[in-house]
Amino acid sequence: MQNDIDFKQALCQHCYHLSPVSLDECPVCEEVLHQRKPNSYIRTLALSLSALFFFIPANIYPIMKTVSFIDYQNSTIMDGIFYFFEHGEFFVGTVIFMASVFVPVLKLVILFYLLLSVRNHSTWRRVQKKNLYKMIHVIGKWSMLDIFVIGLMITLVQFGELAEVTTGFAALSFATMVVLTIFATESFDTRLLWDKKEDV
Amino acid sequence: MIILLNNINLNVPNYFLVECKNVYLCVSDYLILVFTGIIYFMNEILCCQSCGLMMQDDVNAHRIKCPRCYTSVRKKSFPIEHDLGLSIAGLIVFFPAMTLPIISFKLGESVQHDTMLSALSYFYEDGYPLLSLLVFFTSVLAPFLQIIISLFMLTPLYEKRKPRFMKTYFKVLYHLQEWIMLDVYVIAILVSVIKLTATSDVLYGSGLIMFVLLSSFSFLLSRSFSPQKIWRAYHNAK
Repeated sequence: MQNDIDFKQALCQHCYHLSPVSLDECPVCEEVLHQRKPNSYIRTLALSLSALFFFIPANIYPIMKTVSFIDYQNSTIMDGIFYFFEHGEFFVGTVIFMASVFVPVLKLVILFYLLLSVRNHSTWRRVQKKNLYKMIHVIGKWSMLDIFVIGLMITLVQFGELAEVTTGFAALSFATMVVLTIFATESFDTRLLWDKKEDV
Repeated sequence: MIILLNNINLNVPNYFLVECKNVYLCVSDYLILVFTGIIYFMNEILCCQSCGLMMQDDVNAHRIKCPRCYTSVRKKSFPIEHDLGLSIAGLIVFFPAMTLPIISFKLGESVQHDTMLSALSYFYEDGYPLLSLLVFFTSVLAPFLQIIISLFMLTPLYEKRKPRFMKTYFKVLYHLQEWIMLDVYVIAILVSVIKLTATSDVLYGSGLIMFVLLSSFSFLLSRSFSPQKIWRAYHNAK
């Protein structure tokens, strides 16, 4: 069982063509060759820390403001979820909860756990860790659901005098967080889990 | 054979032996070269994308799994015709999906029709233009680029020609995969309809069917996206 580092080979991330490390560009697709994604650890750490930073205003500030001539209502992400549960829409409430609270938290927790195990050169259950990474790679985009719902609500409730829906500040920070976590997931390299201590 | 000649037929002239030996060596070298070439061609070395393990390729196997991390290193994928068909279907469906009304919303006597693009324009005027640009990119521009680039890239490859800007096409298509969120948008439409049915009547427009079709075509297109397949086709092309 030997890695590409032992054979001094580099795998092109774009076309999966194997070529010697001495080459600068992939001979097939002319992409710049790297044995591992460049600065993978520090880049992922920085991006997930800034995502964590944006997660706080996303939950504190109102994500949607509903203005009607009777009342004025600010609702945060959790308020919207409670609204569904109070009105008996358990399925939709669960979907929104999964998309806007559970998935981002899960993603950040898994990213930090992976970074920790790369840092400690842990060899415990690496295959399962790789599967966790694949999972957050697939489910990551589903946290954009709340932003899309707000965008649609603004359009659908366009009866100016009766009621109006506008975006809150939390929507912007939530979207920033989602984009940052997507970039963080892209910059992490699972091959770091299998690299030996002396290679790094 | 040379050993046999040397040992048994001692009365064979010396020069003949030398000749024979040379010829044999040449032939054997050639054969070894050919065989190693064939063996090298048949057992190309593969490298796992997720753990970096080096392994032997087996041409006869449809799919190869990494023995260490169980990632499928080579998957059985659909032929290029499949992708080309999907992208043509996507292009046909794209413009109706964007311009026909997706949902109609009725409150009292006034009826409001909302298309994909009008929804985005309302969102743009609401105060956070950056947010609406993000939604525009993930739900309109990225699927459109995916369909158009697949069409431009796969049509010459289907006719066994090499596309002119292959590297640019491939690079853009590769980086777009993460940003196509049409399937999320379909669920978002569903959620907002359920949210609004309590207060008013919501009618489905004809654009919704087109939109669901577009999202499923785009989903299937990104499912069958495989770099190995595209580059293999590029090398087989003239």
